This record gives sequence, C-alpha cells and structure tokens, in this order.
Amino acid sequence: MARTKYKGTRKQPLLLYLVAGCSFMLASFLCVDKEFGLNITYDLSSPFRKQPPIKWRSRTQAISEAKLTRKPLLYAVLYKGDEFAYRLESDGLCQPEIYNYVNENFIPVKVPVSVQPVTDESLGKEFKGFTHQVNMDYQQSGLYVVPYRLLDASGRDIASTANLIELGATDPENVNPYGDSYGQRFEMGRSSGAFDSLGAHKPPLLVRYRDKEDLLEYLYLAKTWHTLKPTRGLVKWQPSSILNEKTSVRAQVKPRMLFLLADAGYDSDYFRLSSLHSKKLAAIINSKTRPVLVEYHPYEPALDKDIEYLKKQYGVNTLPAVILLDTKDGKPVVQRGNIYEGSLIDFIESGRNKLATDSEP
Amino acid sequence: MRDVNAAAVQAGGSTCQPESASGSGIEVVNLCKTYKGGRVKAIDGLSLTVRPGEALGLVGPNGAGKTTLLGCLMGFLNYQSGTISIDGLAVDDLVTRSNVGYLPERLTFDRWMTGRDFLHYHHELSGRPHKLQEAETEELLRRVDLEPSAWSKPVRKYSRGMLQRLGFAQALIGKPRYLLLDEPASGMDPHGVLVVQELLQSLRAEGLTFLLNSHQLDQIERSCDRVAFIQKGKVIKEENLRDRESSLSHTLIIKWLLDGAPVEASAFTRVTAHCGATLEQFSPEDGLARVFVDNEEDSASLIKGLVEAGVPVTRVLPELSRLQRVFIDEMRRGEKQ
Amino acid sequence: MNRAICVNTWRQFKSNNVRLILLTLLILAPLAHFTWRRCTYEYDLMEDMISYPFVASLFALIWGVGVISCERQHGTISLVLARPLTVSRYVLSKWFAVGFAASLCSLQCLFVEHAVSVILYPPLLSNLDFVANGLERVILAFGTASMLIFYSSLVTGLKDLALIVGTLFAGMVGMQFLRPILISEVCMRGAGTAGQQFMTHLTNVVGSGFAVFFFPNIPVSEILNGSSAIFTSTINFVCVVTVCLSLAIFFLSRKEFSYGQD
Repeated sequence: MARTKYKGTRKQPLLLYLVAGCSFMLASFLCVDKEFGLNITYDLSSPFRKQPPIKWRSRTQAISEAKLTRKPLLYAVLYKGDEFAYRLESDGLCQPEIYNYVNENFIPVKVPVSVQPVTDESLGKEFKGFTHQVNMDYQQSGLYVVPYRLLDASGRDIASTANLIELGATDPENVNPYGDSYGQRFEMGRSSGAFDSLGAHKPPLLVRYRDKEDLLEYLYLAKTWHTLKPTRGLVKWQPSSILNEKTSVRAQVKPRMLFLLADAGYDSDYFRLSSLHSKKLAAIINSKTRPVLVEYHPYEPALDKDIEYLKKQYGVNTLPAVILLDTKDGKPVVQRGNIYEGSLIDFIESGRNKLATDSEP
Repeated sequence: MRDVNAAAVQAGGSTCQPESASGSGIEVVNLCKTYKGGRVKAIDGLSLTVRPGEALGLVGPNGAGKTTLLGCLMGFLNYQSGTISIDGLAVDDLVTRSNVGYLPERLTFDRWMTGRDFLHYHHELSGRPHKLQEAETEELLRRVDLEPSAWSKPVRKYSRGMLQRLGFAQALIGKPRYLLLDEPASGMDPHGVLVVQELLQSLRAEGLTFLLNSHQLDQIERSCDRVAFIQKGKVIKEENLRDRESSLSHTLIIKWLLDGAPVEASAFTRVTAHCGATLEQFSPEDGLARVFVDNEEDSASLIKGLVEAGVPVTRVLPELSRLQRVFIDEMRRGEKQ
Repeated sequence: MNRAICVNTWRQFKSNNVRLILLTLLILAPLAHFTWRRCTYEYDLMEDMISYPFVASLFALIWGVGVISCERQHGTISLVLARPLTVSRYVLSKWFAVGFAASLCSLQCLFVEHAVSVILYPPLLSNLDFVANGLERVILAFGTASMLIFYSSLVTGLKDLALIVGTLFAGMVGMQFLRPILISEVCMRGAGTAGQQFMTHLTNVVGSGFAVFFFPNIPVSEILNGSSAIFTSTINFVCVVTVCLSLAIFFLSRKEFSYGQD
C-alpha cells in the first residue's frame, strides 16, 4: 500500500523553489539591465509613466522665442534610466504648481540623453552648441537655466553670473519669499573644486531636491537670478558725470577711479564678488578714491554704443579694467588682467600699475 | 500538515489494545550504507523483518552497525541501496513519524528546559491536541517513574537515570505503534533498569512493536521475542527466544548443600561418565561443580543420577544464559571467518 | 509556522548570557548617543531623533546567529526532526521566529526614541517619518533573518558567524583589489574597450548583487518621496528571502543527523 507521492520530513517545497527561481531570474535581469545600460525596462515602462503637461519646445524654437519674450530657457537634462530624471519627470514636474510656474515663466526644452559621452551630435541636429552652453561634465540629470541675454554665452559665463549676494539683501524687491537660507534644501551641481563661498563657481543646475517647496524655490530663484542687475558690491559709486572733470591733482580732492566691468562674463563676475564685496578693499576705495562704475553689455552690443569710446580712450580690450584717472604725472594708469584684492590695494596706494601686461595705446 | 497528523492520531489512538497491532511491521531488505564515500561499510546487505506486535532485539559487538541501522530506520541517515519500509510507507513519512517513537543512544537536551517543558514541547511538535497536553505529559512522567519534584527542575540538574527516563517518556508521546530504542537502560541504576523492564513488558502487552538495541543480554532475553545478531553490518543469526531451546552443548554449574554429607568426587565422575557428560571442575569446599553436557537428555539424566546418588543438589544453572551462549558461539565463528 | 519551534527559539535566547548582553547594549547605545547629542547641541530638539533602520539588521544578527547550527551541534535537532515535521516547516518557523523577534526589538527601540523626541518637542507627534522607518525595520529584520538562516543551515556551532564575516571580508577585498585587476587585465589582453566595459559592468553587477544580499531592504521612506525603485527593490527583497530559505531547506534536507558517529 505504498503511496505514490512522498510526504515525508524531507519533502521539498516546490512552490518556494519556483518562486525563488523566478524572482532570482527577474532580479538578475533588472540588475543587468540597469548596470549594463540596456534600459529595456525603461523603454517598456515609458507608455505607463506620467508625462508632465509642460509645453516643451524644440531648441531652435525656444531660442528665438526667448529673444522675443525675454524669458529664460529651462533645459531639462534627463539621462535615460536615471533615478532623479524619473523623479523629476513623473513626480516633480507633474505637480500643478510646478508646471504652471514653468509654463508661465520659462521656456522649457527637453534634453533626453541616451548615449554617453554627451556631444552635440549625439543629442541631435538642433543641439548644436549645446555643450558649449551647458556644462555636461557632471553627468547628472537636472534642470538648467539659461537667461535670454546669455543665449550665446559659454557655460562658464552663464554659471558665474552672480547676483547671489543681491538676493539675500534687504531690498524688498529682491527678497526671496521662501526664506534666505538659500541653497540649503536643494542641491545644485557642484564644480569639481571646493565650493566657493562667494558662489562664483555655482552653476545653475538642480540635481536633487527634497520636496515640492524646494523645487519651487529653485525655480523662483532661477527666474530672478539673471533678471536682477549684477551686484555692485559694497563700494559707494559716484555718478558718472565726474568723468567730465578735468584731470588734476589736488591735495584735498580724492583721485577718480574708473571701473570698466562687463555685466556678464566670468572675469567680471569674479571681480565683483571677490573685490567689490571685500570690506577692506571697499573701505580703501571709498576713503581714498572716487569710484565710478561703467558697465558694458558684451551680449547686447546695441546698449554699448555710448560708452565704447571709453575703452578706446584708455586702450582697454578685455574687461574688467580699473583706471586711475588723477595720477601725479597726469597720465591715467590702467590695470588689466588679473585684478584681485591685493593688487588693487597696491595699485591704489602707489598709483602705479604693478602688473602692467597690455601694450600702450 | 494538521490533517495528516489528525489522521495519524486517530490511527495511533485506536491501537491501544492488546493484540490488535495492525500494519505490516518493519521491513529492511538488503540495506547497504557506507561512510566516507564508500570506504567504510557500516551496513552491508542487511535484511530484517519485524512483524507487528513483535519485539526484536539487536545484539552485536561495538561497531557492528546497530546504531547506524536505527539511524537509517528513522530516516536520519541516507543509505546507498536497499529498501526500508515501516507499515509499507517510507521511513520518514509524516504518518510513520507519528507512529514511531525513538530513544537515541546519546540523548541531549536544551539545558534550560524543565522536564515538563520538554515534554510539552515534544507533545506540541507531534501535533497532538493542545487540550490533552497537560494530562498526557503527566501520565507519561508518572509512567516512567520520574519524581514529581523533578518535573519543574531544569534538565541540567537531572541525573543520568532521570535523563534516560525523560527520554523514554519523550519516545512514548503520541502513543506510537513502533518503538526504536537504542540502549534504553544505559547508565541507569538497578531500580531504573527494573522500571524499564516493567515498562517494556507493559508496552508489549499493549501490542507495541519494538526494536531494542542493547548490550545487556539478560534484558533482551526477558523483553524480546526474537534476537538478531549483527556483526560487521550483516545479520549473521536470528534466534527466536520463544522457541524451545535447541539442543546445544553447554556447561552446567551444580551446587549442593555444604552442611550435609561430604560429596565424593568419585560419585560425581561415575554419574557424569554414565550420562556421557564431562566433569570440568570439582570444588567440594565451595560445594560447586562444573559439568559439560551435550544435550538436554544428558542434562536430565545427570540431574536424576546425582539426586539418586545422594548428592544434596540445591541448584543447577547454566553457566551462560542461552543468549550469551549463542552470542559467544556466533562471535567466535565470525572471528574465524 | 509551528508555534512550538518559534517559542522554543525565543526561550533558548533567554539562557544565553552573551546574547542578552549584546541585546541590551544595542538597545541602549542609540539612546545614549541621542541623549548626548541633545545635551550638547540645543537646536536638535526639533528634530525627530530616530536611528537608521540598519539597527534592525544588527538585532537580527544577535537573535539569528547559529539558530539552526547550534541545535545541530548539540544534537537536539534529531529529536525535533523525529517528530512528524517537515524540514521546510522547521526552517520557515525558525525564520519567522528570528525575524519577528528582531523586528519587535527594533520597533520597541523606535517607539522609545520617538516617544522621547515627542516628549521634548510635542509637535513631532504629527511627523509620520517614523512609520516609514518602522516598516523598513520590519522588512530588513526579516530579510537579514533569512540570510542568517541560510548560513546557519550550512555549518554546525557558531561557525556561521565566521562564514558571514568571511564572505563580507572577501567581498570587500574583491571590490577593492580584484576589481581593478580584472578590469585592467582584460584591457591589457587586447580585448579592447568593449571588453573592459563588459568587465566593469559585470563587476558592478556582482557588487550590487552582493550589496543587496547583505542588505535586503525596501526603502519605504524614499518610495514615499516619489522614487521609482519600488518594483526593483521589492523584487530584490523577495528574491533574497526566497532564495536563502530555499537553499537552507535544500541543504538541511540533505544532511544526515547521526548519533554516535562522531
């Protein structure tokens, strides 16, 4: 009377083995898919993912529209299969507050990245010049903002457009409504060097955020960044009419100093943040000179027609430049090139340019 | 799993009447078990049958494979060839498990458990209904004669005899139909040995089938119906103890009263020679003589002759018990081979 | 699951002093750490100070090291398996016992820490972060328990702890030393960049498999924040648990439990 089916202590749980085998195969497939970059699950699941109702434009269309409407471009760099890209697309941008704000205040362009390393050709025909504009070294998905003025600028210049100090100011127009703890709740892409406390190296790339409010704060800041005037630092600027005075050296009158700066560009931005915000230097400038600021617009040449002559007059080709007008011998002295706090102090003290590099006019 | 247990419990519960042992018993056919990848042969073509209601004793020298055989019968060890079945089912079938009680040779316990906890644990493991737990375990503890004061003490405070009794109680959980006992009386005091004796006899009266592995031949003689001699992994002889003793030649010890008339050696030699027996030793100061007889008839005539010759015989004993005789014979034969 | 085996496993723990001491230490250590932090930094009062779910893994380690292997060493497993009990049921009830005990201990810790935080700063009562933390702890406890059961079924005595440490160490050594060698070897043999990439990917796969095996977790708190990893992590968790338990049952059912053969 032997039973055909074994029902003993060593009975093997076949159902458990089956489940184990299936789940192991599935798990290894998913792992291989992710690590080898096959992205099969990504492609299979794309019809089921939520698409944000954002009015994406093509890049060429966006560039022309930005020049017209004067709105900043918002690039959404989405690496295929990336965790943050998924979260951004399906969770962050799908929220009504977020997408309404984006549609209203930005011109969004979607940048799907599937092939690495990223080049203009790999992205497509219309992304010519994209890698020049946006620094893709970080290899992270995120949001990148380009202001309409700087559409032809390089990524470095866009990144360094520094209005950050102004944002934390007490000026009611520029106060950040989300609090002045800027950059604490979301993370911006960082350069490979140490994060500069002056913010000059901080590119406007969002690579992480904790919740909806952080994303909204970033978008608000991104919108107001490049629309604000570049910071002028702690220096008490004199009106430009004093430039018309005759050159003279009188004991009681402080010499005039002319600052020629660009309103966008890495060198000028760095100069503003490092030198014009230095309390020591500002005190010296304020006490010993009468500073005048002339701003150039390298990306909007039409606005510079009236002030081009100054550059020719003093033989300045590259900005920033500092010119001491009232010197002992009557000739204006120009400091160009690498101007930093120490060299500027020396320049003011001695009235001579210690780092003369350019040729005479 | 619970349904199987319930069925087994019903089946097990109904056989607690004498002479109603059902099932087809234990069958071992041509079992082979090797260790160390075939180098050491523990069991080599062993065949054995235990009919239901029968008690089989296993006797053999150390290392003959008796414990291995019990391990295979319990399904703990994997064997290479041959078949074993209990009641026609595989040995580690769940139904068989609830019908079989096992007492291992070296029993180990979790030291923190009390005796009662241990039995409760095994009672629950065997799937018996929870309501009967208290009653059945107490009954078993009483049956194996474990003092009530020790029931709540942790097992690490038990003596060897108490541990063995607890092990026996564990084997009896669930009223099994088969019992596999490996040296049940090892390490027990004489009282414990008697308790085990009585227990085995009462269990036999209830109709249990058991397989007993012991070194104590007198216990086997008293408890078992049949004996199997195992040497080097084979059954070399099976002896049915219920049969009449076969006529084997053996030595008798004759004792007589010392205070009576002195017994002469000549009288002894005359009687022994007349019966065809051989006088091996004669010690009148002890009142003891050893005589070698060929068969039962010679033994009967010897006794008759001695009594007629006026020897005040008080006792006539075989020097070796029946089993001891067979054992020694078989071992000697085995060694010669 | 067999209730008797679970209860027996839990009661066995009580008699083991070393484990009790480790358990007490593990319960008190995060509390002491947070108390110290609160005393030294004032502004942390508003933060819900609960430890990471990783402690559930440590609890499972304390409860689960040698559950099956110690029983095999003492020989008590033979008597248990002499009952009408399948090996799979035995292994599953051991797994449940260890997982349940570890999750209960870690949840207790969590409640105490959360209660202390709430007492010091009552608005934290509405903070539901700790629910996600608790769920993660339970999941992690059961996952680590399954891994421990697997190791425990392979050896006798407390050698499974040595086995776990050995595997972890081998993994770390492999990642640090073997991986660069493998990657460069292939490149040097002229297999080209494709071969090198393949090796890199392969080692990444092995590394992530290793990480998942030793830390089978479903990150509930991240999922609630909108992560996409729910499917992948659930599959990974189910895979680890079922594979470990199946292997444990398979190996244990093949073992011979002998008496008197040692």
